[in-house]
Amino acid sequence: MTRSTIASFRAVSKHYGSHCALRDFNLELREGELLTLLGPSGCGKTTVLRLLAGLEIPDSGEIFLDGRTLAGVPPEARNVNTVFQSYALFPHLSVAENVAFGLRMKKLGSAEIRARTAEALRMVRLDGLGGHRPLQLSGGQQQRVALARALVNRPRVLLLDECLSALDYQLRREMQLELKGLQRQTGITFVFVTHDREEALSMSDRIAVMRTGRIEQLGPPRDIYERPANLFVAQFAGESNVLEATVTAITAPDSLIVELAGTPLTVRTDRRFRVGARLVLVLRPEDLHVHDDAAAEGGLAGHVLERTYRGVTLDTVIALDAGPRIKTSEFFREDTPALDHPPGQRVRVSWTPGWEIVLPHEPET
Amino acid sequence: MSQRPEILKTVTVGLLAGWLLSFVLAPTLLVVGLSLLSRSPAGFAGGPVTLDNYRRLADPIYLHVFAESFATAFIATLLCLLLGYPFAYGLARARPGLRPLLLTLVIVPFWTSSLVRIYAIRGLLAAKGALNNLLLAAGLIDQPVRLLYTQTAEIVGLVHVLLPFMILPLYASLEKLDPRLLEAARDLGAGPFRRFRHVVLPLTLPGVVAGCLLVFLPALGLFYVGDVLGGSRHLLVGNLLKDQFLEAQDWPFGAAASLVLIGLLLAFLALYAYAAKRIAPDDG
Amino acid sequence: MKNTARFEPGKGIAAAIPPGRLYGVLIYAFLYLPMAVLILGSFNASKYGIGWQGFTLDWYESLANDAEILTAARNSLAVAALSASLATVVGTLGAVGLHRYRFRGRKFLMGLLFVTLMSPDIVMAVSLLVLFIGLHLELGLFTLWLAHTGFCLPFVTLTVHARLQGFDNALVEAARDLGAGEWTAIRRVVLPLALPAIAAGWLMSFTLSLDDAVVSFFVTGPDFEVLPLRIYSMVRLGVKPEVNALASLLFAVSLSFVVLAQWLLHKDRH
Repeated sequence: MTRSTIASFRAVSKHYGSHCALRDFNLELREGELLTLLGPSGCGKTTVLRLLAGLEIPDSGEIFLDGRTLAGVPPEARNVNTVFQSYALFPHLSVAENVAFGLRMKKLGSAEIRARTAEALRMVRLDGLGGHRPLQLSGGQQQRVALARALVNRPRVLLLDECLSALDYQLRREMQLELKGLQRQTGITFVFVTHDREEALSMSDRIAVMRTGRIEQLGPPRDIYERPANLFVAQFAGESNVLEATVTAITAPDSLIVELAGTPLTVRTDRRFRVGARLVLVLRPEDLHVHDDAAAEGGLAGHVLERTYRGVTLDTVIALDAGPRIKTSEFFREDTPALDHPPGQRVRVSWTPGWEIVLPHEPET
Repeated sequence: MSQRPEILKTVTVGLLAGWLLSFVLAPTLLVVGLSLLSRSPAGFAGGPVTLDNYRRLADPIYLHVFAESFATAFIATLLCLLLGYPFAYGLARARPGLRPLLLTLVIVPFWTSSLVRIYAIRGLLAAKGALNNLLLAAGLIDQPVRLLYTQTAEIVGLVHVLLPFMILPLYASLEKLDPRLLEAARDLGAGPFRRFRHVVLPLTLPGVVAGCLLVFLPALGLFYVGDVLGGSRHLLVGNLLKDQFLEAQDWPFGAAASLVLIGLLLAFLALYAYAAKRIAPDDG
Repeated sequence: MKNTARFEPGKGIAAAIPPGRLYGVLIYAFLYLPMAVLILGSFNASKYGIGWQGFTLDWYESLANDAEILTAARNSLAVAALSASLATVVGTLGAVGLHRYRFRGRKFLMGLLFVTLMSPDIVMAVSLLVLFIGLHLELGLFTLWLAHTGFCLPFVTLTVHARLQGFDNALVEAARDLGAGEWTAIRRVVLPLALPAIAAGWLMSFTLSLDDAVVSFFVTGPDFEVLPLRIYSMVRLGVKPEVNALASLLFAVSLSFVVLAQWLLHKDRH
């Protein structure tokens, strides 16, 4: 299903002094999706929100909302609302007055304001707390007020700026589910900014992974995780073992034989490589299996350095004979009692053929 | 209706900037200019540009006034510092519940008329005043001692009026002092004296400089202290300025004398900036 | 800091008070005793303040019948109200500007405010006199108004600015985001938040203006006398018990205003 475009960035650039926050940035937002901007701090993801909200003005390029340019449109005239990282709740107003602020600005009738405020508070499960001051509430409740204050205006796009980062882990997981639910329920387009990959993977319809003012890859979570466009995306999207190898033969259009420090391996990829080209293999720790040396063939040989019990998984660090160290993360299963490999033990590491990620070698930056 | 931020920016910033430029910067520059002219019978100043007024400041009569006034102000400042520092330290370590009250008790004199309080001191020190009566009643003296119209009276008056101006900046810097720093110093083997010398003093130096500035300069300028407590015998720089501007009508010379105060002010502020920068180099 | 000195019979009461606390009490006594004696004297029937000769309100009564003092009082109140109001308007707007906008010369402006705050009264008095004479302004109400506004301005600006610094910068952005224009955002969010500081600034300015003697002495003319100057000339002419009464009144007004201002500034601190 393709959905129509609701907002777009066309060749937008933004500098702060000499620092370039966005360069030649392009993005199409689709009606009703939850799009996450994922990236390290300073990558420009918050700038994208601020530009769309009108809190910053682009140096060049144009932004469109519902097909109309936003150039010269002040923030108050844009049908877009923000949930700020710090929540920015007005401390001198009650919770209900905070939520009603935007409706007041639109000069709606008091009956309608009251009804919609109550409905918004009910939606975020804060009914009954309307008379409190924001500072009397817990962090999670404040977060919900901020959400209600923005949603009550029924914006075309809701912008959420790292708004879960101040909450503790447990609460955060709950709010992720709740946000996703609200998004489905209201059908409003959400643009969510975070540097937390788990949050991004679990909530989004699409993820834009950003680095230094550009989008490195844009796609559904599964593509980002399983088919990253480059090493940066691969590493930012999940824990990765990165191994360098050289192509020795091409056996089929999608199959190569590579040499990894003396060990030949068969790998699958859609990318084209020449014989002799260098490439990198990215292996996710949870895709790897560890076998006792004698009982296994194929894969990579090495010995166990460390193992860490993690409850759900058992993590093992293995020094490969080829040199590099890799990390594995295995789930406990009843049918694999011999998961525990003591340090020093010789082992082999293998994975399901085709689950390796093959990327061109990138010169160090 | 569109509300352009530029207009508000121009109004808010422009009003403040306009005021400060017109009523602080411009008059100060006028005084600088005036000090380079000479007295003119026609208007209040005229004639060729000259440094005569500054040369006249070195005249023994005026030099004497400056020296005496500086000595008085210096002693008053030193007393304020010595009395105020332990007091501010105690205030910063007082029970949190009690602190607002104790602090307000220091702030109140800060904001009440110093003229009224000087007058109150005069009442205490007068020949037939409360202090003499008390001493007589206690049998410590058989006849009233002369307390009024002495340099001591001036100093007592100045310390009384200006002590809060010393205590408040000291308190501000002492309150910010993290007690864990003292614990760390102690842990590293510093005794009480060295903790004060190497930790407390350097960190509160901006407060010390600000306090001295707020005491020393007014101590030179509070002309009614000279009049009410010092009699005509002990003049302050303030009395000199008052006489030149309002009685002798020698404005250029008065302007030169007031520039001495402005110079001192700038020197103190530079010292303050230096002391503050040493603590927080990036604090803009 | 725990001092467990206890009262021990035979060692005197002074021994029971920890030395630190005793020192504090002495300093407070030094700060307040002169005013206390003066206020007491204003109710003393003795004309020369020698010994207590009974309670009287005579001196307050004769104040109320002194036409010159009443005029000076009216003048003082007018100047204080006008100056405090103008300083509050300019200072509040200035503080909002300094808080909300970044512009060239912002640091210079802050520096100028700071210098004005720190400069001794007499320096300001002299330069303003020079300015007013240079502009051929007649010395009186108008020049007093300008001058008093001048020395109150940094107090208001810095008090309001400090208050605004305590709030999240995103609040104004949130208001704009929710549909408020720049002015509406300032009116609905910034000003209500700053209100206690604005009120405190007005009260402190009023007090400063009411109590000022140095600047007023230089910038007013012979036809417009204010209370501190009236006190000054009464003091120079010799002790009159009415001065005690007047000084006590002035002190009482300042005291109540300052306490109120302090309360406003600190009431929502926990």
